[in-house]
Amino acid sequence: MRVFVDGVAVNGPGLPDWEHACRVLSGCAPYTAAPAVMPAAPQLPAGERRRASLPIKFAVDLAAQAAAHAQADPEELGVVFGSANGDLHTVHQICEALAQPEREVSPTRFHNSVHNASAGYWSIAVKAALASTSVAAQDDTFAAALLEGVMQVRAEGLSIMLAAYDVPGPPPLACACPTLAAFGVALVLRPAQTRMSRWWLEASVREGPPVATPMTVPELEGLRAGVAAARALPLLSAMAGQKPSNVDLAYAEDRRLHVELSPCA
Amino acid sequence: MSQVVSLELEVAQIIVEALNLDVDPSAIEADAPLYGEGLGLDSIDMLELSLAISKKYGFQLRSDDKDNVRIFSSLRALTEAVGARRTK
Amino acid sequence: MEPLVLTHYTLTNCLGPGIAATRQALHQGTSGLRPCDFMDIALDTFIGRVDALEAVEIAQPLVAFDCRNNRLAQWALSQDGFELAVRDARARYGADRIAVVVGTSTSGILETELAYRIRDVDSGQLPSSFRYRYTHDTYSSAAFVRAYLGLQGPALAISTACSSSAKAFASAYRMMAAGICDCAVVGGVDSLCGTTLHGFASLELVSRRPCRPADATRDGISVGEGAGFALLERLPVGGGQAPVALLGYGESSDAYHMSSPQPEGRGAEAAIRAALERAGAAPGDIDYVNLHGTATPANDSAEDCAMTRVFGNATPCSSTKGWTGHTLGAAGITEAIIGCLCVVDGFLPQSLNTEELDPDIRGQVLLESRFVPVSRVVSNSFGFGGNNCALVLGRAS
Repeated sequence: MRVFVDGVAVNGPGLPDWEHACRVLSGCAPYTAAPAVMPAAPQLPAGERRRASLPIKFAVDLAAQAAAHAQADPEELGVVFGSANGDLHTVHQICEALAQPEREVSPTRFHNSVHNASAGYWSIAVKAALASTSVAAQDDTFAAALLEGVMQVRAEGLSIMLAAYDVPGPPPLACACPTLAAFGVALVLRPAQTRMSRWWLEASVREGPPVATPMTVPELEGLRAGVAAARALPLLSAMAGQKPSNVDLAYAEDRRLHVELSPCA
Repeated sequence: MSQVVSLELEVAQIIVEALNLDVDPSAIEADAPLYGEGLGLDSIDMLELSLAISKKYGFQLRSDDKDNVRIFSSLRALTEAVGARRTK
Repeated sequence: MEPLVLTHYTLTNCLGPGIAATRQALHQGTSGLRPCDFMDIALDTFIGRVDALEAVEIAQPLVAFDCRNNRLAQWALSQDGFELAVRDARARYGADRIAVVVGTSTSGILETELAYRIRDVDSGQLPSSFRYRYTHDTYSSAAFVRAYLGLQGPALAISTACSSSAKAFASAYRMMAAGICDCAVVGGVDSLCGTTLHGFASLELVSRRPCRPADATRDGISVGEGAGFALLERLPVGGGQAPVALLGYGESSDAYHMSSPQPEGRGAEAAIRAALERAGAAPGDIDYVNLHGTATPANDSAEDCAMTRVFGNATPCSSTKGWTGHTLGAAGITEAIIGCLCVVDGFLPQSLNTEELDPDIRGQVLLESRFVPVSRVVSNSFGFGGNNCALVLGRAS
């Protein structure tokens, strides 16, 4: 299943945007640890922005950056968002409220609590009225979301805004559901090559054993292992490398998603 | 008079905090409409605000209350309702 | 599109375990809703609670998954010979060629709610017995279903609020079209919890009475719980229930508001039209539409606008939420399977609890059930975030 990648965005510790990440991942610049930048998400209308939680703004900003990088009209993109845990901040606030005698749940937080809140806010921000989905598969969420995106491109002929993100929750949830750091990636996938197409990728599900491609820089390998969305890092490294390469991502517990990647001529 | 003004400012602070508004509470005009134009609030904001008011002042405001349109028409009207109905 | 046959299916909700309970209640016009008696939740509302979940025991090797949501999933999977059907499919295709796609909105959030009630007073920590990954995690029910059925193919959890398990059909179709599996277990499960009961109450979207879809005085939903699963195959092999096929699906977004539908139902209309187009069906080919019909003033009015623009006012339609309540992430699979029963039984269900039809609703809402031949039905599912999905189901010819 071949698709074309027109745009990419990334946000994570020491990888504040694609331009910088590209230099680090291709070995042209050293990796320097720094907290992930939490964006203000100016793309959201004011009324939605003040209601949006941290993970929502994080995801919306990633998608906006990828759309800009691809010079894509976001209205014309279907939406596939993946997150292992969604919005743990909102879950925390709701569960805290429910543990009080009054059990007064904030209506805004309740409507933010759905896993597809980020995808919903994004669609409102850019008036994206095509199909939109929100998926999860624990540590394999990026692979599962990428596969869903690729299948939508192939089956529907749609162009897809694919984003995967995870943001650590507050205590005490953070202990029950550990995420090392905030990390997110977004890709604009196309069914056919455009003048903006930078890479093509070919995805296939393969038999186990689920040996995922690791990162060579220890800090980046720590990030890859510690955040579900950061399982995308080997693919991002291949993109930064600008030469044909193969990447394996763990998928569906005991199989792997094999991705062949090459820069477009 | 100063008591009314301070309650009005207190209610304005609740509005700003509950709705995460990017305005100074003292800049909310007493007679400007809260809903729609003005602060740009919608029905979810009204529910959120009702919850914050009921928590702070101990009385319920449901949107099927016939007086609600009047109560939420402006900061001044909301402050008057709080002053009249508060139980804490 | 190539039709995919629902060769086996199973459904459990407040009407009882298994297809027979839902079928009997539909035919007899008996609702499963009752005054809220869920745990210690004191809300003046009606709910669709599944009896006996408290007594369900999770299969021994999978006890780590024990929570209300996975109990409900297991309770549903163990009805209607569904496990046997999957065992047969496993023998035919191989465990690694059968996908699992499960829709859920809140997963096992009840476990987290309960853990927050007993946080350590000093440290604020959650109890050590709390297992987030196996209970509340969005993928937990998909992982549980996959392990319980002994499957090893592609797996995915879809969580788009109340359209989740309708969209599971679309994703499973794409997996089969892409050749990464030969058949799929699709379905959904959502269970009662404080988050949804109090959350919908905070939005003033719950009725104090059993929900009354399309009624002039409708005033909100009745929250329910349920689970349903279907085995999707290219061709019916062997026996199984009377086969009905997935003929089309359509997905869209309102791009309007997080928790209010676009008032003219534009997104809903786009999803219905896309589903019809994919099925190669004209509006006149559809014998019945199972509405999303939550019984909130906004949903039923917006959905009716979409309905009349697509179908005019000649196509019979109704919401079955007066029977089951709104089972949220399980609504899509619940109503898809009810759609199958409509085709198999030649039965169109009334809009239960509707006393006085809203004069502003122009669609042909059924106020009485009827037995007539049914070839093709549409099932609508819409969720928060303006997420819409419509399915076309029909006789597998």
